Amino acid sequence: MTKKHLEIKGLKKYYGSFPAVRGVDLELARGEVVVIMGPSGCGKSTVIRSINRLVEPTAGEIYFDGIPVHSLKPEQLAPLRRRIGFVFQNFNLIQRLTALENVMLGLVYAGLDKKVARRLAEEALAKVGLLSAADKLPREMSGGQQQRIGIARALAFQPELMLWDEPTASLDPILVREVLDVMEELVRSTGTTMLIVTHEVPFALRVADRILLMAEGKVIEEGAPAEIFQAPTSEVGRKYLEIINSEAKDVAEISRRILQPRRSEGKLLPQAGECIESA
Amino acid sequence: MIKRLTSFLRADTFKKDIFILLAVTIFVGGLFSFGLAWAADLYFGDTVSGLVGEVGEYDLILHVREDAQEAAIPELERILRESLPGTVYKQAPTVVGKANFLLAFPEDYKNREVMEQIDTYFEAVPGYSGTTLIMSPTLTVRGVQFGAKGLLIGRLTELPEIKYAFVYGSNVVAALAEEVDMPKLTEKIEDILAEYQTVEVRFPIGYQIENLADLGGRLVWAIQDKLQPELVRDVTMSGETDDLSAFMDTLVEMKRFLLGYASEVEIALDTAAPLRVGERVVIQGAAPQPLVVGESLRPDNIVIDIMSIHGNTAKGMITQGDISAVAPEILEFSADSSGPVVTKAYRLERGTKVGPLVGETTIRNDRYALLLAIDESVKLLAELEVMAQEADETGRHLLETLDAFEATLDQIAQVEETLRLVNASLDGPLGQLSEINLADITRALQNTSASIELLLASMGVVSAPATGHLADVEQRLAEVGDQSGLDQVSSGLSAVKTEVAEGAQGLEQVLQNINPVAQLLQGFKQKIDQFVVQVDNFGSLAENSNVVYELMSEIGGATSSVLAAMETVDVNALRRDLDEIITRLSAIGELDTNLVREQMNEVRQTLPELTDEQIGRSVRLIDSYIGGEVIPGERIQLLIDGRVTEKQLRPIVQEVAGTPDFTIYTMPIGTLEPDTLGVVFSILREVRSTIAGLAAVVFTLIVLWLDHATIISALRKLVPGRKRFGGRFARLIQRLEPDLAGVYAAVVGAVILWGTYRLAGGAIPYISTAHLFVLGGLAGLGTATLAERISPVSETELLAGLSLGLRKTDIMRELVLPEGRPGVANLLNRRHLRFK
Repeated sequence: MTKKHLEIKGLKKYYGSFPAVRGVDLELARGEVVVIMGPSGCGKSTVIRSINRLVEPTAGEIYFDGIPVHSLKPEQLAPLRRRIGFVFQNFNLIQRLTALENVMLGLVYAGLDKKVARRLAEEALAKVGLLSAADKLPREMSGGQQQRIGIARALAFQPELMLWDEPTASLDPILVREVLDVMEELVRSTGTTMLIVTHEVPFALRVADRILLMAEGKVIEEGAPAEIFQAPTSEVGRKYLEIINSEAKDVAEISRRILQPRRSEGKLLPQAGECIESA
Repeated sequence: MIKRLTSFLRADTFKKDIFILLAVTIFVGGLFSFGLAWAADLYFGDTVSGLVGEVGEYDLILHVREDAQEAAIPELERILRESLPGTVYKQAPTVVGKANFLLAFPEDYKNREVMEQIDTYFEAVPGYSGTTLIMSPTLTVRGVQFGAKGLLIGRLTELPEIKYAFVYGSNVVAALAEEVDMPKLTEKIEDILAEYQTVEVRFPIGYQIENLADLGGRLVWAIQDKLQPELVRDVTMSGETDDLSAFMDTLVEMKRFLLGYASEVEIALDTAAPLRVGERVVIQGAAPQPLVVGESLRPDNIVIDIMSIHGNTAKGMITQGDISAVAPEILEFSADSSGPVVTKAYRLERGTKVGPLVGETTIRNDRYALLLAIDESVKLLAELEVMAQEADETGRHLLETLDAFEATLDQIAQVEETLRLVNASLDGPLGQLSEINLADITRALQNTSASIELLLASMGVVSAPATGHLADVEQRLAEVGDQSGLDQVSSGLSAVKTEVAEGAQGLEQVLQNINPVAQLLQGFKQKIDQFVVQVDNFGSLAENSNVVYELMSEIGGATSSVLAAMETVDVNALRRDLDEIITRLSAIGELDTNLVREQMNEVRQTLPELTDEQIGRSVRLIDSYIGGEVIPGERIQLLIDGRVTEKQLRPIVQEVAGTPDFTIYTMPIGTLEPDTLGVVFSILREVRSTIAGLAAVVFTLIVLWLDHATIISALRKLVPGRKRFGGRFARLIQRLEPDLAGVYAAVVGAVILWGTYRLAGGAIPYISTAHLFVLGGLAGLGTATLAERISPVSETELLAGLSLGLRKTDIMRELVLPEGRPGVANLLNRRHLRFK
């Protein structure tokens, strides 16, 4: 943990008269993995989308690597966004482009030579185990594969910050695992700062350095995973604890996993078409 | 500015893409709309030119009855060959029973002289049914008053754009130079037309103008004197009439004719009972009972329509009944019978009720007077003829009498000589009357007696013609002249009467010269007869010689006095007088009185056998047809300066005509119209422009839907309204911010429609540039409203693009437009695609 990689101060967002985010403060150190959790509609996605201004904040300040993102002009946003990878809940793939082209798209428009872009894209696809599906169109792939393409597209830039907006929310449980495994491996294998919005509590417990619980547009609890779930102070925290208990997860196992080193060597992710074992 | 434009064009922005898209769209749309309109124009133009040729290709259409078509062709060819060589013709489609020939004249014939006579060339073509001028380019001034044609042609040919002008029917046609600024020329000609006007002064029927030209001349002089116009000209007598005006004139004449034979009704109005024109009054007529106020109208009453009122005198026309029913004696000729009928008139109320007394009606009927006068004239003519014959016979008898007179005179002279010889012998040596001498004397006396008897007999037969009847004839002739207006007949008959009267008077004078001698001769004859009787009774001369001598002496004395008396009569002079009288009377006898009588009977036959009611109803029908209470009677037409007003003219006309009873109509001297074929092609041009305009509208809608709906959808998602933190006021401001996508749609719609419309040469009636912008803007707003449905754009892809650091320009090019509907934008965008 070094200096502040991302800093959000007093972020507010109104949709019309509805206050989606009501003053969120957040700091991420370089290389830190922070998970935001909370019930639907609590403003998690709005916060994460505000960071690269996919959503225009109503008020507040956002600094990325010291850059005041909140005050950038539209034409200054594009270079910034290339430094921030974003994975969408609904994959957001370009339907007319192949998997490879989807990954190449940002690279090419960033000014890279097409050949270079292609190589980088193929590397990214390889990382998510979908190089063999490079020429497929999104509609020819499963949801999990599509999301992995989305992850590859975000990774292709080798971003300094990865923003994950509920990447598994649109997937069935089997495909969730496929995507979570990829994400987990990425967390372990890269030193990228990550801000993840998810409902996947076990995943969060496994990967998060810090967890933020949000409710009604505010951060209601913040801390290390163990702190949060062992003695939750908020109603939301207690509900998450119930979920954990109901899934009969062993606290020790959880602790073990928490204490397990996050980064490991070797093959991390299954290749496309490989069977994924249930945990 | 140029620098900014250059910078804009060099920049790689979507705004530039839009700019290029609009330019290309307008260009393509213009071409499309123009092409569509051009194709339509080509089709319709070909159809029209197939009928009447291209503009300017042919000059005239000759119409011929379809049934005479075959016979017409050789004759037409002969005429063209002999009279208009070089003229080409083409047979056009037959329309409504008329075969049509299109004629194109060589330039040599296209001049005023030939074109004004052009119809006359073709009148000999069998089945000729007229011509239609289709010469182009021309302008036609229609309905030009004949008197203004020359003036107008002169003014038109002063214009440099007009090659020549000519009269074609009631129009003046101006042949134009090829390159003419038509609106400007039209304006010039309209200015010329506005400089003049035709003024028509119409007098009501009944207002008689003895010398129309004189009145027109005086009117011109008075207008010139008082108003000093630049032009005033009497064109009354130079008028031409078309069929309708000829028919109107005929109706007017018919009305005048009928009114001429209708009873003249004049009502001296009671000032207490005012009457209005158009009201009706009733008089007793042939009804046995007098009119009673409040009772119903009877069929045998006479109804009078009031036609005019001046002061206390109303004039009317009988519309029920006839004057003969009022006064049957009017049908009998007498000194009193043809005078006016005077009777009381009552207002007719509610059409059938006898109203209050309005005045006294005086009715006169010249038709009946004329009828009676003709009949009387025929009778008089016969009587005068008989009288002339009688006088002639008397004259001839008198000539015979004069012959007898001279014979008797000779006999008496012979008696005197015989007596002188006997007396001389008695005075001789023998001194004695012989029996022989006595016998000679007796015989001479007997002969003389016979001559005298013949003479007296002749004189007894002859008597002067009865001149007493002539006074009656003279009286009747005067009445005929006074009452019928048959002055010529009356004066002719008077001349005959005078001849007869003078003849009779001459004969009487002759008789008066002879008659005194007759008494002497009568006495002389008695003496001769006594002498002869006494001589016969004598036994012998010797015994009665003294008596004989005495008788002889008496005879001798009587003979001398008779001779002296007879010799006072200048027989030769009388004979000359008689010859002259007979010659004049014979001249009367030589008159073809039968012919005169027949002619007068013919005149009588020509008089309409119409009752007043029939005339009145006919006049009312004519009035209802030609309309207006003031029916044009005499009229004067003036060609006059266009600035002179009716108000200025009225007092002058009243002063010159001496009546306020006239109407003034002012008309333009002509109406400018383009040539027939020009109009057709002008309409086609308008159709083409309209089609181009409509095509531009349709094209704009299509382009908005295919291209811009996608862009609008993307704009809505990529450029959301600026969100403001704050309360109610901030939200209000937010609401007032225009929807950028809507503004874009409205502007683009307006620009595309306007540009396409203009480039295609569109012109929809009543649609101005402002309308175009509004219409285009509305089309754009409509498209903006429906854009999400017409061409939805994936928001997830847009977000993906944004998250990958793509510029909005790149997003539009790479993500939005390729997913849009195929159109110009899609086509143009292909060059920008990195991933095709």
